[in-house]
Amino acid sequence: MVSIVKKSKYKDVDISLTYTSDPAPHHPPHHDLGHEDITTMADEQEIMSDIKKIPSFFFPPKMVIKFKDEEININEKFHAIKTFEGNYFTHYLPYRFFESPWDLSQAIVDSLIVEDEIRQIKIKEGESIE
Amino acid sequence: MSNIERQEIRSLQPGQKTTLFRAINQLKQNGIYEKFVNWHGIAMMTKAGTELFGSIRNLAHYSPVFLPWHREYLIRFENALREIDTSISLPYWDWTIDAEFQDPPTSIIWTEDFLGGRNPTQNGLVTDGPFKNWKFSLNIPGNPREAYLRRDFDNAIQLPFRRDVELVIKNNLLEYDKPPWDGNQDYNSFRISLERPIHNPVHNWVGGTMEEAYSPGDPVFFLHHCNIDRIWANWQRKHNYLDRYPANDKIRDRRGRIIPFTNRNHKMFPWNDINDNTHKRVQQVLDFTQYYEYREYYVP
Repeated sequence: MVSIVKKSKYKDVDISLTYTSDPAPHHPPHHDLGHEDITTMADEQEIMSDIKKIPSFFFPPKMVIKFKDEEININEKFHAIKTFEGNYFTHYLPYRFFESPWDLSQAIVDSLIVEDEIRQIKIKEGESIE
Repeated sequence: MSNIERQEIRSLQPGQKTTLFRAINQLKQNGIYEKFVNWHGIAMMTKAGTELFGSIRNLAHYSPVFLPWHREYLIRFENALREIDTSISLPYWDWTIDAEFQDPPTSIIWTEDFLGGRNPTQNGLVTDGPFKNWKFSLNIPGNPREAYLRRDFDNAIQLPFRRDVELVIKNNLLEYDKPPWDGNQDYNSFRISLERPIHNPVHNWVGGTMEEAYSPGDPVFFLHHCNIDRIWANWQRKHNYLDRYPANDKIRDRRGRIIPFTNRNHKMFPWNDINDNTHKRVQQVLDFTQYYEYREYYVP
């Protein structure tokens, strides 16, 4: 297995992308919905064995950011994937399509910064919010 | 035929608006509104079908069920409001009107009398209007958290113009949907032509809460989707396509497997209890006229 790590900084947040030749899943499988049509375990195993045959460029790199001393795996926490069309997509920002993993990572950082600033404002205001 | 008539929010009488906003706040206070937000979040975060990678299809978006799912969602929301006051019908926000404005954020929609605006000194928090200072507990898988109602009004994004909407409605060559039944960029079906280039930018233009998986946390979500549903209803009426949805079990993934919660004979997630008659199958929401009508359409 070969890995290439690329690092960058955006708004003082460290972003690292790890490209690997190992097409291991970075996205959690769907939840058990208890429906008759839902994939069986055997199906899942078959698919996973197929996936191992797919070239690694099909998968997004592992995207990790260090935000407020916390290491966040974007692929797992924000359900990030590479689409069939080659865009990058996260179910967390589901109405946008990103051209690169950097763009996606930066959008997540922007969102986390805003959420954190709002939290600080609210703490300062003594949680006057309803 | 139903006696519910949906109209543009700007045409509501002041008393109707007050009743609507009061009812929405009542749903928020008794926890029902949050249930709607989390229904959307969980459907958005759950992949539909067996394609673990590459496909962005989930149980409510980037799939043929996008329009029926949101139609049922709005019917449920409208019913919840009508349990509080039977005079309420869900209004729509016709953003093609705002698209013509030089500065859409100055629209009356975003004033205190309508949906409130954004507070630029507080990162876009909504601190005025009927939904000011709203806060949510979100039950998003892997990311449970609290969030505040927030908007961005991203002027780098263009709201869809009326001509864009009319083109999609008038195109009688469009099928409802086509394989691979997902979010592909070939705009060769009605659903994808409506979902990505028309529906998505409105979410991103409003931004903030509307841009994320729990977008119904902003009440404008329901008004926006009511307009999306109006466009579908217009296309259905214009071409007499009330029943034009792929046949039973026709919607399958690239491996030929039936995609769950999506086919016309399926119940939709999370309203999929086989023993509950209030949980509808896709085919039960195709004819909207049994639930409501719209006062005006884009194309006669």
